[in-house]
Amino acid sequence: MAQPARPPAAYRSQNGAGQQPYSNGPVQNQMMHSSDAQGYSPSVPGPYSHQTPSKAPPHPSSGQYNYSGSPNVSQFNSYQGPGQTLNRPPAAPPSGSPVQQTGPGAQVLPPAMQNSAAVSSAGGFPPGASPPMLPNWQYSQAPVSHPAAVQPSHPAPVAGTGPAQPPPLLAGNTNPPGTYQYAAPPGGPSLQNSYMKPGSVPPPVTQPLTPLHPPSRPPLGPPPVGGPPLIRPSAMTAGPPNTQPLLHSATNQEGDATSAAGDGSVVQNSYDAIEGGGLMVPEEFMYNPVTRVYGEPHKRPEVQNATIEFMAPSEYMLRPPQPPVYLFVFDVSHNAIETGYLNTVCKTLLDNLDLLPGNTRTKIGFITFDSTIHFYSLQEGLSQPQMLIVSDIEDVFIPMPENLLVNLNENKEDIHLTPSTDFYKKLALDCSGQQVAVDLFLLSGQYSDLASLGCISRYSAGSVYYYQSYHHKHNPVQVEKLQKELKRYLTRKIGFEAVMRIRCTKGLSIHTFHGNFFVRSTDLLSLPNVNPDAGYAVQMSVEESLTDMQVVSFQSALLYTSSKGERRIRVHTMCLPVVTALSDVYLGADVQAITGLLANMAVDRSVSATLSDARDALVNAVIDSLSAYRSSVLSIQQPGLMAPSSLRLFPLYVLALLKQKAFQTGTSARLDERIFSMCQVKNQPLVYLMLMTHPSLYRVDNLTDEGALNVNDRTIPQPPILQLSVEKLSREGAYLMDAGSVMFLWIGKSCGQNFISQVLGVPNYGSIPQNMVCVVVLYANCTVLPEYCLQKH
Amino acid sequence: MAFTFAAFCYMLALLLTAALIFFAIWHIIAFDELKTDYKNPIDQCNTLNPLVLPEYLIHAFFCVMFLCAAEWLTLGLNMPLLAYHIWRYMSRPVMSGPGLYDPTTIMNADILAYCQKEGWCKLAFYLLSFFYYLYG
Repeated sequence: MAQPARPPAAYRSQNGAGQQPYSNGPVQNQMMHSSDAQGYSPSVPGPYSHQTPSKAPPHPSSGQYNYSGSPNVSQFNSYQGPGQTLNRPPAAPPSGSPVQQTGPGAQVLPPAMQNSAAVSSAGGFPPGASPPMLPNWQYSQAPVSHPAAVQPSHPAPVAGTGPAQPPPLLAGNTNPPGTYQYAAPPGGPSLQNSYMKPGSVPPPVTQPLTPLHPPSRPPLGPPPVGGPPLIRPSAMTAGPPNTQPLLHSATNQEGDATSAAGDGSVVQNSYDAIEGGGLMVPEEFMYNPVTRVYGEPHKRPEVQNATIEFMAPSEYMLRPPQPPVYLFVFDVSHNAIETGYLNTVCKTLLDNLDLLPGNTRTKIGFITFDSTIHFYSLQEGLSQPQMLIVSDIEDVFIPMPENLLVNLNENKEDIHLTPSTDFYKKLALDCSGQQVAVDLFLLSGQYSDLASLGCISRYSAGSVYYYQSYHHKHNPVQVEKLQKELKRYLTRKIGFEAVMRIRCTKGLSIHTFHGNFFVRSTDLLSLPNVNPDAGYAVQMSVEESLTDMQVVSFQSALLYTSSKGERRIRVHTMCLPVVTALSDVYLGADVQAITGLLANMAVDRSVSATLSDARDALVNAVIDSLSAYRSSVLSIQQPGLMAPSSLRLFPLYVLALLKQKAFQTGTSARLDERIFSMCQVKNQPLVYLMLMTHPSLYRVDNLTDEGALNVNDRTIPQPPILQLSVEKLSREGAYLMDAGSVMFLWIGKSCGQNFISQVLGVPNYGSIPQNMVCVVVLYANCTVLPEYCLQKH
Repeated sequence: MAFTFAAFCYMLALLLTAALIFFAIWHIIAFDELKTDYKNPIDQCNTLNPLVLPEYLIHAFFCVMFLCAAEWLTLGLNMPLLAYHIWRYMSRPVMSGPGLYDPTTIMNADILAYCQKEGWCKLAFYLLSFFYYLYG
């Protein structure tokens, strides 16, 4: 959290009467409050009136480097008092930090900046540790017109000219790339209620921000840094006393403070400016537990890295972390059995039983039902599970359902997009209160009111999986899809009993959240399960004028129980500059984030109003933003459609959105499919949402090794993305379209013989079987290309 | 002065308006508690929802009374509020029990702000009508 540096005296008082400054307090009420009652008011005496958060890297490598276990990023810290960052002296920007951006120049504001915080990118990116990130992500970095500023590299043009950018082939990495934080000014002033119409004089600081926060948890990196946690029973004991002798000469004022050990009250007042200019920080911050060096607060891990994870002390737990419990509920009515799903599911479950995230305390249970409910008592000592049939379905006790495998055949005739009953919503809220998440697997061929059923997942942080007309004989594609998705579902990383709090600078306020969770209070989200396949979006509004701020910052903190039973806190911080000119806002626009947010908002609108309303709103968003650009920013009025380079794909993406099942009109899209598509829009991380909307098309029959990646000793070629237009398809080629959860391989009639025989395994074009399924069902983001590349060799 | 039915109506309305003022204040406090994270939405909605219908019914009741007493002016003043209540109740989110507030959406800043404004406006209206009945 970005806190302005307060003079120590003030620091103490801000926490109320002599209370300890890191008042962790009992769990959720004060959990992340920790002295932010004062807000982020910038008007603080002292030389530092601005926050200095670290800026989140705008690309997936933030997750990648965790994965590769590089030691100097995302430090885990068993330091208590989470969320407190401090002001770094501006003279210590990580100018030498390996800047990995190939595209977006999301770099630090230059160190020459006076008293604005030198925002640093998360230092210590191990260069080359990650595959290239999607260059279309533009970091919302507008070069602030600062007098002495060296202009940082502008965000590179988005996505080349559309097709030409190689995607990140995260082959070999089954986890989605880590956390992304995008910020985008909303494209449509009409949709962002506090975005002032650009027709009027642009207010001095318009940066309405709509960050999308998909905290897809990056794979947990190195274990928490050991070392004695800085126990802080009372305020400000000096750091571990034995480090006192390591004081640098520059900080010799601490000589005064050494006497403070054991006496918390004296410590604060004796810190004067150290090198780099008046840094008044509490004693603890002078000690860096990672490098065990005293006197370099700017090198502390939470200042160097935008993403950091803490072990949560016991004040953050209502009770000891729960063991993971998996409860599978199967429908065994006649119709359900006939589809044959039970075989597949049981087999997959059996295969993946060892891979279920959890530890030795993991529990598992089964319930089946048709017209009565059957509980299975899996006691030790019994050769077979014992089946207990409960025919009283009015008053049933279900212990901790976490999965709900359903094959319903209810025949409701509703045509609404809204739920028709709130039973499931209430159930979801109850589950959420008990830290239970419900995931719904729907395999029905008939209409099953997914609008109501989906509520059970939506508010309990679960997900919905829909397999239309599942049948093991008639529809083998679905069988494999279920298998693979179930495997992924069972073995992906997961966190339990989570709450997430998103905070922002004073002057901004969070307006609406999009995603699968329950909003417990104004900025606290209750997530019984958190997993890498969920994305969240947040709408912000500018409440006050931001004229006196150079940067605004956002921080999301996730308190969760890892699958190993540890209680942890993961903190992401992001900082964005505040600009005065509308053209700068356009410069920093992140079109993918905008599209994602608009999609979420459109789903909400189509449920609360009508579908055509939502479609109109989408179109208006584009029109408004582009016309505002044309009228206010462009000096020369030319005919034709003028769009800023950052938004030049915006109309294309919105058109693609309008073709989604969720927003289509006039077709006979089945209601369940439509609802499912809406659920996907709300739940998926942005990467998949963009793939779903605007799939990537590659030509695969002429792969070369040029620019290929080397991951895990495999060479993955990087074919360019093609524009989605029929003119790019040629009869002599084979093309792969990656649409997120499904892929299509299109083989031209005159495709080369080599390709057909070597890759597809059939002698010629004519003998390609009609329903070749192996290509179609790959879930997760490991593309099929590596397979082909291997085969090719 | 003769104890007419109209006078009786006004006196009754006075008492009932006091109750309505109480409800309005309760609403305001409840939304404020939600906003400051003092309570969680589920509990708060469970307390607020049962109050909604009684409030509307009380108001409808003395509209009917004024109708019977042929107090057209007063009736005219209360008609818009009655219509508003009807519209509000018709467009409430799908719920199985009575009420207007859904815990999953109430924390949305838009809706919360709207409800707060509504609370204040209603309080003002009930206060004014209280004094009107008192002196009318």
